[in-house]
Amino acid sequence: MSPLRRATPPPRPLPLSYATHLPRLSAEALKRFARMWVGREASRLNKEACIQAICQGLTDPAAVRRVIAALSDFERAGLGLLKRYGQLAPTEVLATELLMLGLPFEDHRTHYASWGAGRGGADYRALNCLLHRGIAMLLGRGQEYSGYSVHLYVDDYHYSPTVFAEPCLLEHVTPVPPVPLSLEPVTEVEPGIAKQPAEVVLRLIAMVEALRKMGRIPLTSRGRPTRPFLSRLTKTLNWEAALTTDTLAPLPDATLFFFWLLAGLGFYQPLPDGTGMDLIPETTPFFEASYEAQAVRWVCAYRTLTGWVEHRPESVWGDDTDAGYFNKFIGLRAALLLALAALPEATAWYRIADLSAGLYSRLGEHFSLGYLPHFYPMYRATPAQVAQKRQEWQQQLLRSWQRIEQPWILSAMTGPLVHLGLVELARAPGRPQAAPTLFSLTHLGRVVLYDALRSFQSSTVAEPAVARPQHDEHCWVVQPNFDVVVYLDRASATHLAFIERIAERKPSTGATALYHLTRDTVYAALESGIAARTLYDTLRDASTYPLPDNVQQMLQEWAARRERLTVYRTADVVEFADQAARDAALATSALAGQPVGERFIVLSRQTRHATAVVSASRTVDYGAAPVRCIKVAEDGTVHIRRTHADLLVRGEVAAWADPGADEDHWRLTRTSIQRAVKAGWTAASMIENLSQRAQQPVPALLIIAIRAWAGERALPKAVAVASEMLLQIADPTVAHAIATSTLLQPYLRGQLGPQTFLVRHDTASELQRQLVQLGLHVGSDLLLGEQ
Amino acid sequence: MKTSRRARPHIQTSGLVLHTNLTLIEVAEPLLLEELRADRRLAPLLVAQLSDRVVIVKPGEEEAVMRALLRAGHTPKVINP
Repeated sequence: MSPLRRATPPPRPLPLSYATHLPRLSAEALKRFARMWVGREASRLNKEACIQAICQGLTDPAAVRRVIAALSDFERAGLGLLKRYGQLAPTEVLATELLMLGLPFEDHRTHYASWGAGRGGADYRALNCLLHRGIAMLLGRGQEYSGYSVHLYVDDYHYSPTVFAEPCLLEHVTPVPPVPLSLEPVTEVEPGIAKQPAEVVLRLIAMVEALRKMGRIPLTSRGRPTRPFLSRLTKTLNWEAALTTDTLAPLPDATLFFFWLLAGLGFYQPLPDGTGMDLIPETTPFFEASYEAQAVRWVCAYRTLTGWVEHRPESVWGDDTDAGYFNKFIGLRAALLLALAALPEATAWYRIADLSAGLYSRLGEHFSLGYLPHFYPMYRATPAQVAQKRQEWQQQLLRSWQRIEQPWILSAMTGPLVHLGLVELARAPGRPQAAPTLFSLTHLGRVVLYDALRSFQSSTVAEPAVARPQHDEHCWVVQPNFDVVVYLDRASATHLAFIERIAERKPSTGATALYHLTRDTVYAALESGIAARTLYDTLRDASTYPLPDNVQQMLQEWAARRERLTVYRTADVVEFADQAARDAALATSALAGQPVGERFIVLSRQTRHATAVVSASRTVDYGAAPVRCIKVAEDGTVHIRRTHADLLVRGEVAAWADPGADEDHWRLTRTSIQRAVKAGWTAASMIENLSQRAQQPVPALLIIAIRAWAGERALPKAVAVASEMLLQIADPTVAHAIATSTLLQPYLRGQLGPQTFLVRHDTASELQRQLVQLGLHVGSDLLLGEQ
Repeated sequence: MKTSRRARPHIQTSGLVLHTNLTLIEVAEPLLLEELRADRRLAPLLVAQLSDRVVIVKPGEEEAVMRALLRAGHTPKVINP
């Protein structure tokens, strides 16, 4: 890629308004759009006049109402679906939802030659109906190639991931429910499984608190949480195994599911350096909302969930890092949720297999997670042959659906939809050991899935929607064994978040949650910023019975124990010449901090930020390399240069040296080194410390001594002061003669050089006698420089 | 128009040394400091003493000190001033 191309910024989406998009359309399309607003007059308008007519109509509420009233049921339902997303909807989601509505729509495929098979096998005919009429528009890009207009349809070559509509159109449209599916209710069911809304909230809060404790969320270059992080999160939550192996409602990769669900809820914010994410600071208001309000958000987040899939059919290949891989799952998820809104009766029980068949009846010929074969009649085939071929094609599609989509639907129904509290499962009568095959909407499911599309009609559900959580001040019982039993139906989100922070969650099901208080959990809570008093008061106030005496006592003891030892991290300390100067500075308002010892003040954060106030004569940064401020001699004497010393050097030196004449003079000795070793120092750490501090290189002999005194085994310590004598010969010829002499060999121990020999101590006088006898002159002084 | 600015009080700076990025441990009783110093894992990391209750941690060893404290059963209050 050329540098120029790399530097080109990506095209920015056009603003979400028709006024911006309309000028890029052809006159033919604009006339079609304008017809909705000005009727047949539109055919006589030019491009600019059409745009003006449409924009003028959009500003007139009466005109908008009139246009909406003239729309077909399908078109109004389409706008109603789009309205649930705000102004923007994902293309895949809306495309499958429109097909699931079961309402007839006009197929405009004859207008465009390329409207056959859609992108990756998906069918966008229903969506294209809205686009063709200008009721919705694809979000275009700001830098189209010149000569091409904004797309009016979706297919393999014309695609945008989002669809939008004008706010004034959405404002006046009311939702249209889907046509009910032809499902047979089941009257007899065995008791099944359902999750209470409070259980869902508890799971989300547990995830939030776990993430808060873990801090930064590191991401890979492809925007996924890193494997070590996920492993730690899974371990912290400790629910993965139980949820995966749940016989009634298994939820695979539960940690990942709830992690990405929180992403869909907007609980994460990117870090400025782009390497990770962080939890948003304030999550409590979300959990304090009614269950219905929360569940609407859960459903939205679940519908567009990426990074997690209910079930991966073998014949569907894809890569998690490819966003397109998730598009089809998102589409089918949207269709399934809309199918639940299309149940004949909101409170009845149905078979999951029947629901799958219902979905197939509307989607089967238009959608597949895998490859969708299309039907093409043979050339010159008779009507009977075409009918037969069509039947064969439909049977092929059904078999494919039962093999690929139906297991996915079963996984979605028994997994996420149960764990989000939207669906209740049950077994068929007389089959107590079998997996659940029946389902019904829960109260919450009815409100957020079924009634949401019928809000303008009289509710089909006789009973009231899910009541707002009735929070009680007393929502738990603290037992003497430090267990806390939390009644989920009474606990507010604040209480759940609180108990999640101060205690360890233990496995439990149903209407209660079980926690256990330990010293470590209470310590972690105090460290997270909960004041000891708040912790005690909240635990007491929300308890149905008074706190047991032993629990009260231990809480106080744990809090007091924490106060005994304080660690100041990255503190700034001001050192004064004497105590009087320090106290005088404290008396003024110039310095705020805590006095320590006789001459020091630990600065408060406030003062640190105003460092200009502390204009010190010298600053020592302990984040940098240690200050070199000592001189070391071979004999082990250590001298600290007072003017350069920092606060650490005397402590370091005192650890491995004996004091000398004053606090600046020290001496390394065998005993001082051995004392340091006993305290945990090693020879290597002492030498390294000394090397970092010394202004000149540490003498090699001293290094050897330190290693020896420290008892370092690897050091070869053997040396000898030998008593042997040296024989030196001035002349090389004589030296050679002696070296090769057998007569003299017994007297010699070795040869150090060509003319120097080692002589055995006990035979030295005898050798001397022999040499004299041989006529040589034997002296006793070293022959320096004569050889 | 002139705005009056309140004069910031200033301290005497002669002989004053500012030490930055230090990690300190303060204990409630001197005896507890002795206990820390007697710990073989902790002792090499506590390199200087400012008073009988305050000790300086070897720079770069903050995490090791925290781990050693927790392993020894202490529950330190951690303050980022």
